Amino acid sequence: MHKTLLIALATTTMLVAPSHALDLKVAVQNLPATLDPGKDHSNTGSQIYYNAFDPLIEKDYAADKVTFKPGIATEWKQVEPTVFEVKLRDGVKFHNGATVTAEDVVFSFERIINEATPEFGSVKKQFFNNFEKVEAVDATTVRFTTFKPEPLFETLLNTSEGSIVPKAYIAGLSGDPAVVEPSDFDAFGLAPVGTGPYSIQNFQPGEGLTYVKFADYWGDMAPLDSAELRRIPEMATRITALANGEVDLITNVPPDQLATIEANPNLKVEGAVTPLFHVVFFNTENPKMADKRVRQALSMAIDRNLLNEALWLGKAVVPSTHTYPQYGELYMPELNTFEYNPEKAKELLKEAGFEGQTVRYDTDPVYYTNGLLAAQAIKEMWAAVGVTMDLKVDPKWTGDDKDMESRNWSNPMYFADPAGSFGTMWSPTGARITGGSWKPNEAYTEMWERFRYSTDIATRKAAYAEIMAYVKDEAPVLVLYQPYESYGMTKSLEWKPLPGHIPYVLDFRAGAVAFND
Amino acid sequence: MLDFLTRRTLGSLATLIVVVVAVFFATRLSGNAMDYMLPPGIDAETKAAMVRHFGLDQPLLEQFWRYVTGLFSGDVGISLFERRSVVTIYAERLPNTVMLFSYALVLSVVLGVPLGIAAALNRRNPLGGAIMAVAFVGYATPNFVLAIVMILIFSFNLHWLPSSGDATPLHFLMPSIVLAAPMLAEIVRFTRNALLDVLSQDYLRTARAKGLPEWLVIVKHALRNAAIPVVTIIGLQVAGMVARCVLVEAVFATKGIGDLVVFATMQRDYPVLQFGVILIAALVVVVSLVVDLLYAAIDPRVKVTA
Repeated sequence: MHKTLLIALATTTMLVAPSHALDLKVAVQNLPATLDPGKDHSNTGSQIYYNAFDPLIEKDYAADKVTFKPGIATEWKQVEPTVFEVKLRDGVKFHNGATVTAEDVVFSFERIINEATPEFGSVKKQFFNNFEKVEAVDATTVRFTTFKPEPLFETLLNTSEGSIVPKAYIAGLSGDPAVVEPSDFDAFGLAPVGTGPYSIQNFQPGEGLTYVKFADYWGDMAPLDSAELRRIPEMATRITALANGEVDLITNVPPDQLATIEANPNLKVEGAVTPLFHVVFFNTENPKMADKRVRQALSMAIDRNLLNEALWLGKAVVPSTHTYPQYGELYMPELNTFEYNPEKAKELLKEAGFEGQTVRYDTDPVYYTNGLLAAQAIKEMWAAVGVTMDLKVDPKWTGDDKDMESRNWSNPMYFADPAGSFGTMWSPTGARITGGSWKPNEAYTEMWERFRYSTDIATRKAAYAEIMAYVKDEAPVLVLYQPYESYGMTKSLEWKPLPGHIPYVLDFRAGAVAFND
Repeated sequence: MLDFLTRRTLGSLATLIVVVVAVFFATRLSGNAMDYMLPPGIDAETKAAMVRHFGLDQPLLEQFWRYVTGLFSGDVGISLFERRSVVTIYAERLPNTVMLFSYALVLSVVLGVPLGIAAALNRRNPLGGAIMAVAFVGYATPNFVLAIVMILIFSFNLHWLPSSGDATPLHFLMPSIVLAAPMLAEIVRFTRNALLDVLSQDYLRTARAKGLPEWLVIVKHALRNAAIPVVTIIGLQVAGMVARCVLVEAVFATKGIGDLVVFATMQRDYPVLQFGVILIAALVVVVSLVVDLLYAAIDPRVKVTA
């Protein structure tokens, strides 16, 4: 009887098992030099983490609307306005075989809150500034305490920065195995271990890595046996590697190359607008740019729809304000913060006595897709209202320089709330304010307090509308567009970027990727 | 001979010291590493903390002293970007570049010298003209153009060769050819001209007069004398090949030293860049020493006392 059952079972398994290993080969434009989700919110790092690491709280990434669901935490509740408790799933394994404990969870957040290295400090500032302490109540319960009531608990515990990492493994990587030292984090960045459906093998910093299916994963098994990522920085070489069948998927395809890929019968293109804004900002502290009428005029002179048509084939999204559909109830397209009005621009410049002046505009040659082309087009648009652009092309970041006048930048959505995108850059503690290019007034700080920590949606919406009205008047920044990110792939691959993710995530988890041959 | 070696080694050391000093200060003059390495627009406080973390806020001379004492104790530092030993990073990448170099060198010498001889001997008929025409085209074509055209033909259209990467020896075929092309063309030209120069010399007439077969006259008498300029040009080309490697590795996505040095330059990853420049300078110094020694081996009139 037993034997028959076993044979039946074996036969069924053989029938179900795929006849060949499913291996995906991906060429990316860039890869990070170290991999640690807790200290990295770069665009290159964002691609990598989700396949190998789990946050406490998961989300349905295929849906536009935010729906949280259990991750490493099976349940969670706000026990007081400033206290949040999570129950941990039993038996979740790290890739090194260790079981996730409450101690690992506490450690994963404490390294950020205690700023174990300056990079953790940066993540703390952008994500967990309100977190006071994290403690293990018992073996399966972890308690988070905040300074002020935290309306964004679930959102923050869903970020890849809040991924769970193994304490004992990290402590043992260098120096004293019982103590966690900064060098342990450097070593972890080269040999990362998480709990996700794929483990990271053969990581060559900045060059390549291989995801390997993790057999002990607690959730839905990885659909691929392996996925190999390698860096091919040259766009033409990436496209050739795809056409030649050396890789199945390529990232960062600029709009003017889409036709080349679409013309090949074996290939196709997938894409989506990314929750990220390309922006132009002004150094309001530079005396030349101090008059807000000048900044308003330079913003109004830019025809963003024309940029979209010419550079993005109309596929980008030109927003009326700094908002994303991913915000859910806080999505506010009805606000009108940015507008095109060259006639008004001329008037304002005349009033300000700014006609015939030159304004420096800085851009990196390649970092932002179409960044240089957009700058050249904006130069013409400014010329049309009587301002000469002195275009400076340099990979150096000049945003904090005293003599900077204007430059481009990107504002990604770090998490699905205005606090996680406009806030990380432009709130009173945001990088632009601490960087010194804009000094908003006291009232602005008060607006942000109301917006950030209120638990009432209507209050938050009203506060954000006030913030945007102030930004419109002060004009420290102009949102250009949400770029359209394109990927080239072989026809047999079913993959596309999911709307619930932050920008650039390469999600190869169950349900997100398949080969249809 | 010993005297020559000692003097040349001392001279080479002096060159390397100048390189170490120049590269240390030049890299720092070119900008603050954190302006290039951190994501654009990171907050100023974090940037300042990172500068302190890496000790980049200390006086330049102090940083230089730490670097030099580190060099003498065999510690060339940790990459600012990858956070691991610079030596490990180079050890990982050196094999690819060495392989690329060796293939290109062998290819250009093995093909270049015989083609040069053929061009000299056939200087009055179409074969010689054809060889020289091809050599001129090879010399004049920028290697990035050659690389892209080869990828277009052999990868994109014919699907014969992989376009990028370094997984198999086949991956090195196109990069090696591209790297070898200008050197091959130079060797063909110089071999031909040097040979033409000696072919009309009296001692060759003597060699023929004493009944030696023509191939022996060429190989034993003519070629040996023609070899000096050819060796010189190979030495010069090896130094130039380092520069070309940068481009070839970028186009073919070969993980080698050239690609690494360019990336380190863009990121201002000082420790990686410094070690790379020193390594390349050392290579050039060694190659020119070897070339000098080869002169003596080839031509008994050259004495290594100068």
